[in-house]
Amino acid sequence: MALTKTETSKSEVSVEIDLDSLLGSAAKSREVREVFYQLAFDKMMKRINSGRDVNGKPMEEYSSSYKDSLAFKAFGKSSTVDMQLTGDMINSISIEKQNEKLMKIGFKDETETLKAYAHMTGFKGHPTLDGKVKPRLFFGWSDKELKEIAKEFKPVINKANTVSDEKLIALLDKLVGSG
Amino acid sequence: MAKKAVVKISGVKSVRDNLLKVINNAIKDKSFLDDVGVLASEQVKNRTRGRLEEYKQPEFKKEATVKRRKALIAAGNGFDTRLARPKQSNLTLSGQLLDAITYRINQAQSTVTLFLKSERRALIGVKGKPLETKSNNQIKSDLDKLGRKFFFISQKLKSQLESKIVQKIRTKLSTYNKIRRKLSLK
Repeated sequence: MALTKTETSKSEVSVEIDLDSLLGSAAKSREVREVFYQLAFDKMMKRINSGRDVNGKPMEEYSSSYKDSLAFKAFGKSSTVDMQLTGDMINSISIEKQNEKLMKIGFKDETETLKAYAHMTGFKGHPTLDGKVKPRLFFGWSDKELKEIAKEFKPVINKANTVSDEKLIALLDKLVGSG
Repeated sequence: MAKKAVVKISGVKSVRDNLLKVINNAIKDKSFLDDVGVLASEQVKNRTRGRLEEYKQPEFKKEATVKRRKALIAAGNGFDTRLARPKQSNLTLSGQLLDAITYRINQAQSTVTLFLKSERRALIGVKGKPLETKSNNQIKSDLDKLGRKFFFISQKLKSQLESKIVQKIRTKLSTYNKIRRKLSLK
């Protein structure tokens, strides 16, 4: 069974991740879930910045009219399709809902949701671009990517290496201090 | 009557203090404050040059202004032929005004301040002679009076900066958690 459930509509573009299957009881901790989100976000960004979609395929190239636009030139964009002009759409990605079973990630801003919908569907319903632009499936995660992230959460339990609270706090102080 | 079982949790204050220290340290980090300064200043420049959202300047109303700008660009003042527009305003002719946007950081207070560097070169007139010039701050003040505001943080940009700060704190916390996991203290 797939580890994600996607919703792509004009009012909502989101991915629901099955944390229960991926992390088991570790997903009960909100901290673990927050770390999971951070790692998932970083992994997605690494892929997007290399111009690849959720299936690992190169994303549809920019149109020549977009490449000729003032905004494209002003931001000094390259031809790598990384879905970031101002960065507003990507920065609008956030956790919409989370519990020990699932995490739903989507776009918090209405305009950015519409932009994401347009890219994900190939501008479906757009008066002039519908059918002319191929979808860019930039948002989401493959099961393979999610399993790789989940591997990070396998604790290394070695009682011999367990330290006391005082030692841990001293160690953290040292790390925090070194910034 | 049976005595009530009491569970005493100690060390919460230390954990809280350490977490606050991690967060505080993250937002005082020089490279992070620099990143925020670069992002904010570049975004104001590029959104204005690209005529995006709140930074889009009103069109020129007078034909004489367009002609004057064309002449000044032709005289060699044009910053970038792809960006300097004689007919539309994006506050980019020589490029000096927007390029003057810079920032300073204060690590102790975790602040980033955007400001305009004052100095600018004089534009060259059509006869090849330098024209009288004002400082960038005087030009900004003149533009403000004309309703051409550009030196501000828009709602979109504010939200982007907030996301960046949240991401930074999350990254720091993930490092903190990774250390805890490696030490098998969960």
